[in-house]
Amino acid sequence: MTSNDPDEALLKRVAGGGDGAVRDMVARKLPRLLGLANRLLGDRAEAEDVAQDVFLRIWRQAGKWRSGEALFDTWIHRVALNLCMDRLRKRREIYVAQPPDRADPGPGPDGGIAAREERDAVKAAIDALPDRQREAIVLQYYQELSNVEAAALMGIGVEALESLLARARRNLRASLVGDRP
Amino acid sequence: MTPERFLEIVDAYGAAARRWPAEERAEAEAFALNDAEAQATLAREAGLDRMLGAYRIAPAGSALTGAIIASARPRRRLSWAVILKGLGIVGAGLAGALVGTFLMMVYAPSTPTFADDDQPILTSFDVSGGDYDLDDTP
Repeated sequence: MTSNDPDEALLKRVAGGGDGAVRDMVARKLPRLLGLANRLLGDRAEAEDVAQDVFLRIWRQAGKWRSGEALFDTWIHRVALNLCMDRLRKRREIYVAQPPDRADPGPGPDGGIAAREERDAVKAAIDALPDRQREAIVLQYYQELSNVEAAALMGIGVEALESLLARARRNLRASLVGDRP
Repeated sequence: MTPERFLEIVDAYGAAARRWPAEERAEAEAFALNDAEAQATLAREAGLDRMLGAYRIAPAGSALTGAIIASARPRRRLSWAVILKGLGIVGAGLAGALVGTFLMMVYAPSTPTFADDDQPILTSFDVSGGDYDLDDTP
C-alpha cells in the first residue's frame, strides 16, 4: 500500500539517523513552522522557541511514526498550534498594561521603507485580532491549509471556520483600510 | 452557486480561487465570470489579500537552524544504526588483533631453550692447561 503522505519517506530517513535527512527536514518544515508561530504569537524569540520544541518532538517521534493515522504536516501544525496556545494563555495570565517591546526582524533594508511600514501595519492588525480569528486567518491564509484541515486543527466545523474568517477579514479591512467592520 | 454563497466564500477565503473550498471552486469561478457584482467583490478582497501578503516572516538564521540540527544528535547517538556501526568498528579491531596474533604464532622464529636443546654446550672452560693449575708449588 502506498502512503499519500508526502513527508513519510523523509520521516523514515530521519528515523534512520542520516545527517542529510535531518537537514532536509529542517529545510522543508522550519519556514512553515516559524511563519505559523511568528504570526500567532507576534514575537520572533517566542516563535523560535516554539519551532525548536516542535523539532524536538519530531526527532522523538520519527522512529515511532505510524502512517495512515494523520498527515505528518497536520500533526506538526497541531503540535505547534498547541504550543502557541499555551504561550498565549500564559501571556494572558501575566498580562501587563504595557505590552513589552518586541524585536521582530522584518524585511531587510532592501525591502524599502514603504514595504516595511506596510508589513508592520499588517502585523499590528493581525496581532490585534482576537485569538481564534487570528488562528483561523493564519492557518487558512498564510499556511494555505484547506478549510477542512484548518477547521479540524481548530476543533470546529467548516461553517464556524468561515464565520471566524469572515470576521477576521472584516476586522483586518477596518484596521488597514479604514472600513467599518 | 447563488450570489449569497459566492459572497460568503469570498468574505471568508478572499479573492484567490486556490483558497476557496475545493468542492465549490469551479462553480464559484464560473459564477464570477458573468456577474459584475461578484467581480467588484473580488477586486475589493484582492486588495486586502495583497496587503496581507506584505506580512512576510524573515527566514530562520543560521544559529536557529544549527541549534535545531544539533538537537537531533542525541537521538541519533542512541539509534540502533549508530550502535551497530560502533559495534562493527570494535569487531573489526578485535578481528585484526586475532589475525595478527595468529600470523605471529605461525611465522615468527621460535626462541631456543636449554631444556630441549640436544646440541652440545659450546661454551666451557678448559682447565687442562697449566694456567689453571691449582697447585701453588713453584
